Amino acid sequence: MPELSPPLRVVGAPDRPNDWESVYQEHVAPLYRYVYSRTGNTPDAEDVTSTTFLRALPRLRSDVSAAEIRAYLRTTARSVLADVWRQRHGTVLMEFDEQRDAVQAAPDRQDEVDVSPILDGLPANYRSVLEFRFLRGYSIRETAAAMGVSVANAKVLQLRALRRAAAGGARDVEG
Amino acid sequence: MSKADRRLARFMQALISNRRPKRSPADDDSAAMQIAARLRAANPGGSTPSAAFVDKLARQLREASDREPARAEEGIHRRRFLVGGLATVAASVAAGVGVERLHEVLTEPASGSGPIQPYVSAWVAVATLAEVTPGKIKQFSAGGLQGVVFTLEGEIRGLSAVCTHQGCTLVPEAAKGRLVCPCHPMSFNLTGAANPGDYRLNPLPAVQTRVNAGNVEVLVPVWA
Repeated sequence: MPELSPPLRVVGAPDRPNDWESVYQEHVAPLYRYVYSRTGNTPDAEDVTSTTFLRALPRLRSDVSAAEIRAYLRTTARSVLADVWRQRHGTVLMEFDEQRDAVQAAPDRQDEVDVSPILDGLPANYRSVLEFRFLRGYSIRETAAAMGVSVANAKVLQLRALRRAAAGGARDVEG
Repeated sequence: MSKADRRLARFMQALISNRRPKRSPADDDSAAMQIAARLRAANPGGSTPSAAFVDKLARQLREASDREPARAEEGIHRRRFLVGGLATVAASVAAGVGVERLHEVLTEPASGSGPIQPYVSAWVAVATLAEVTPGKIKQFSAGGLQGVVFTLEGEIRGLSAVCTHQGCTLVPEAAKGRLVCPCHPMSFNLTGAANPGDYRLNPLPAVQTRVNAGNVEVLVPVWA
């Protein structure tokens, strides 16, 4: 009988049961990208990635598939991230509606960060202020100049835009 | 700008400057803050880990895996305590259990009773060796943890001293080798297990300990 589905890839040969290095090399960049998309800054992304691997690797068996390892790392990372959000900001880790969250919506591109679902549908000036600030990293002053508004106006606009982008679609997943 | 506005603006600015945001309550801006992290993560070039970081973590993992055999030689009791919840997870992974179920396993109260692993932590001295000679129990409060340290079976150990029932701070009774809840007729023995009583309670989480320069240190959370 022909094989209908591709066999699950086995990480580590049976005679090398603790080949965690290959697991690490294969998964570190995708996991980091996922964590970075939930933290938005390098120091946190590095800490959460480190904690996740240090916690998860000793518990992983070498005879499970790459997909299972990935799922397990992702689950561990989510639990670490939930701790960070809870302890630092007293809030739960959220996921967002599928359409608004490319990480959830596109399984084949889970590690890319595509924010068009967040920005689409926002008024033009809200969209602009978020693009200037977050995607280009402009200062408030530069953003104000680029948009032809006052600095005070840009300050207020960025907060309104962010809150509008966040309104609706959020759901709690961590309790 | 309101207080909440200033908080959200500071949070945004931290991300844009690629700094770790400071501790601050999210209140109604939880979704806005998390959307901010998503948006910032889409900046070009940010989402690839640096080679230096990847190498450093590889070294840490290598050191951790080298330490693993040493851990097996420690007391059997402690090891069983450490491994109990984890074996469930490994078994679930092997059985191909879905991610959602795995998540439940990770967050089940039973696995929450392992040693306390703060996300950002530091070793803090809480007792001298003389204060934890066998038969004594030393209370401490450090990094927001209320706990006790003591010697059991020749090993210095730490436990949370917060009752797993309703959070009352437990009172040590060194003579009887137990921690007594002031709120209800319950106590815990020094392995962290609840003594049989009126309530069936989860065990006390262990606090990690080490001896450094004649002092007993515990691993507690720290926030910048």
